[in-house]
Amino acid sequence: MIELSAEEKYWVWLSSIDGVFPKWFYSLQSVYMDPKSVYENADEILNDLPHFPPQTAESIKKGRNTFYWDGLFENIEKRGLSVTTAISSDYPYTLESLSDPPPVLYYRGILPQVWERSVSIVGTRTPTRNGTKFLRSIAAEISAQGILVVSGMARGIDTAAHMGAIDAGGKTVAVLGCSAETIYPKENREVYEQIIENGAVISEFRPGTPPVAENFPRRNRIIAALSDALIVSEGGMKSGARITADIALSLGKNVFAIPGDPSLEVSALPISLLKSGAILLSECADLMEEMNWTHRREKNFRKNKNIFGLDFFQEQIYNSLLKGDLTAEQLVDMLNAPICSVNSALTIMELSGAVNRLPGNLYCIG
Amino acid sequence: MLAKVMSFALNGLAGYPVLVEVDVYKGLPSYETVGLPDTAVKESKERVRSAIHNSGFEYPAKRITVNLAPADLRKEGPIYDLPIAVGLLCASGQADKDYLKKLLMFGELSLDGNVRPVSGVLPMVIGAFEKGFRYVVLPAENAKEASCVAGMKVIPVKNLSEIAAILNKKITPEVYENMDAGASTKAPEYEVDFSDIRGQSHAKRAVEISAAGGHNVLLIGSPGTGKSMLARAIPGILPEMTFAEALEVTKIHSVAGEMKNSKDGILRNRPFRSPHHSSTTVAMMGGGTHILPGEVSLAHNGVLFLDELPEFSRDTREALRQPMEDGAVSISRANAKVTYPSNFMLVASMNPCPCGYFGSPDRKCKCSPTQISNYINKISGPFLDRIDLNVEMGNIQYDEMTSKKQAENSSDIKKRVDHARKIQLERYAGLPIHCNAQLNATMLKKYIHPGKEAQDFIKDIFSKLKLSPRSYVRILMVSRTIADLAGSRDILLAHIAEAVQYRTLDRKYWGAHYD
Repeated sequence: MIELSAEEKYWVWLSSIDGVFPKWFYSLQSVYMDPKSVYENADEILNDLPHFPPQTAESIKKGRNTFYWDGLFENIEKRGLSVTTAISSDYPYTLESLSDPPPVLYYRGILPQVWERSVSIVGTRTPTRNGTKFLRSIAAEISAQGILVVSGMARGIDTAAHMGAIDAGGKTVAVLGCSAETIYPKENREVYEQIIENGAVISEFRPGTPPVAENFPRRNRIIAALSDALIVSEGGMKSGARITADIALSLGKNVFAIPGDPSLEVSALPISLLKSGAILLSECADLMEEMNWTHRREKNFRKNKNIFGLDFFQEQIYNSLLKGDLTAEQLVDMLNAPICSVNSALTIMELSGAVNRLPGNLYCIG
Repeated sequence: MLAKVMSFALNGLAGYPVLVEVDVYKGLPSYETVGLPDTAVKESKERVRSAIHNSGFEYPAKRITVNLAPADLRKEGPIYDLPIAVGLLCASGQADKDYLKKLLMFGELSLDGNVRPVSGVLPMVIGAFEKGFRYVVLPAENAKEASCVAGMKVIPVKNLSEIAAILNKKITPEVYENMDAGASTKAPEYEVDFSDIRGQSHAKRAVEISAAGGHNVLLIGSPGTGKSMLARAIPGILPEMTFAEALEVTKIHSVAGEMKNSKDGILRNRPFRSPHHSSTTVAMMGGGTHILPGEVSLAHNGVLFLDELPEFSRDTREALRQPMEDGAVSISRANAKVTYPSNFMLVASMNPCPCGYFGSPDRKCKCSPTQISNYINKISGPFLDRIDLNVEMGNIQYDEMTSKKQAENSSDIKKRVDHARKIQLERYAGLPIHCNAQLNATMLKKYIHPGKEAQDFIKDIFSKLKLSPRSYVRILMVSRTIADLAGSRDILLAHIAEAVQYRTLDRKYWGAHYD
């Protein structure tokens, strides 16, 4: 962990106080210049700032003791968190476009130093299977171009975006709606660990913050601001993805949308965005051209079936699955083979990564 | 005058002879039953009086004492009506006592003197035979059930007058002896055949493996995928019951009173029990004031089907673990302790998630991953440890339903199962077990040793597919059965690979049993 300067520590202290939202943080700063003088003049806050919430002022006063101060920094260290503040050198400069950038960011992993060539990906928590599959592969292609992928580590599209970047061995950043050391949803433990290895998990919320609903819109503004462009995959008209898209538009970012089946509810947001002028994204090149990014290297993500070392029968299965996802039963009927050989071939193919097993006893190409 | 009639009492499946003593002597007319009778026995007084009267005999207007010996054990049920009435007739001189010593009798009387069928006949007759009795008088409706006991001479009676006539040597009794033994070659018939079930080859194969190795199986599928139908077909592919097994099953059903109206003397079909999920623990395990066998014992040598497994109360599910492990259930009450056998194959079914559509291709599941894992986690780990196979059943497509393609029928599958069972019997000769599912940890080491290649393969599977460690032993046992079905001496790579497919709950997407 990088040692914080005394001034940075005051920033962390002030932002950690209950009720000091970025808005109040900056109004305090405008009066007292820096958090250190807020610490020194806390008794005067209500006199100097008539609209300041009295409860928060009280909290600031109470926070001026060594127990709170030491406890805060011990907590940060105990939870393995790193901190950057708006006055630190490694603070993501792209956030400065926001009217209320988070004064302090907690993170785990390695914070990228360059935020150009980055894209944020948002979408629903309950995507369709095809939508997830497509997004993961396109995220991998984008990431293979050396582009940073930013998302929120929520279920569904967010997770697929991070996984795509990890598949391609690229960098990825997750912005959480809870504190950076909290894994939510908890089935994403593995994804979380992998993101830390391939980038960073960041959050503006102080250590120990649970994932409560009101945190997520605040998180979304960071996702929108961090990168140069926003990709919206599936989402409903009232989703968090829409909030993110609105913020990105107001910040003047390019918004891309991946169209879906118009009859599905989850296609409502991307289609309405497309109607109002978002850029259609159906392949990686759409993004690269629009953003004027150079193609760094060509990498074909369509796997060659020969690399799996399939035998004749397994290749028959593979070829059948190329046309669409099938259950073991359907394979038995199509290939006219006994179920025992189909099942045993499927396990071996799954091991080599040629196929994937999905809920419902369904198989798809890996 | 005193008359003594032999009868019988049951405690669980075993029992002891009861001596019914009837004394009729001078005094004010009265009637007293002693010897720990329960209410049904006490009430026999009224039935006996009316039956004697309505059969044209005279009810003695004297002081009557009935004693049921041994006097320190409880006597239950209406089976002593007939011996008491016969004792009264003999004691009052209306029937001859000559034969009484040789005969053992039981039966319920109706008011018009007819003899009504009773429950628990087979275990009583077997018990009486073991105690040295060779003649038994019992209700005509129960005769078939009793006559499968070799060496026992069964005298069925329809009414009180008939037994009186027999005792008075006016008619020669019709004696049934061993009449069901010849019928034992009759093949059992089951209501659902495997060829009736369309599609579902994956689940059918899993069920075939479970039948071959005696494994318990859990079917996971959306509503309407045919889980219950498949379960119902399972008894039809299990090996036929031996006579001893059939006798054991009949005994249990007889005690539970399920043989009273049966046309067959002995049950040939493997039992299929499907208790509703609202069943209480007592209904499942057995119990009550008379300690009757519960569903686990009624499913002995057959299939216990638990539809909607998570809906059963937690207590009931956890109580099932002991009978599954021991093959017998012990029920202890203040006044008695009874052990009933409960060696059943468990077939359970459940929805994949609360809404029922997780993994369904046509309908969207409304459940969150947390809800799904909570639902699966309702079934405790130790309980799941006793279920070797768990498979998902997909929805049946319309063209599969109307397909003319003939599915394999039960008798063909049964042949393979029989063959695999034979191999297992040979392998486990001299051991107290007879199929792969019963292997314990030490036996497992001795009898299941995959080769080097297969071991590396298992290692690979565990690291790559991230299976839960507790499935290791299950996969080995199921691979052994698959190898037996294939007639292979060694467990091959393909067998293990197939076994992995029947462990769907170990897959990460269920989120079960991880954190």
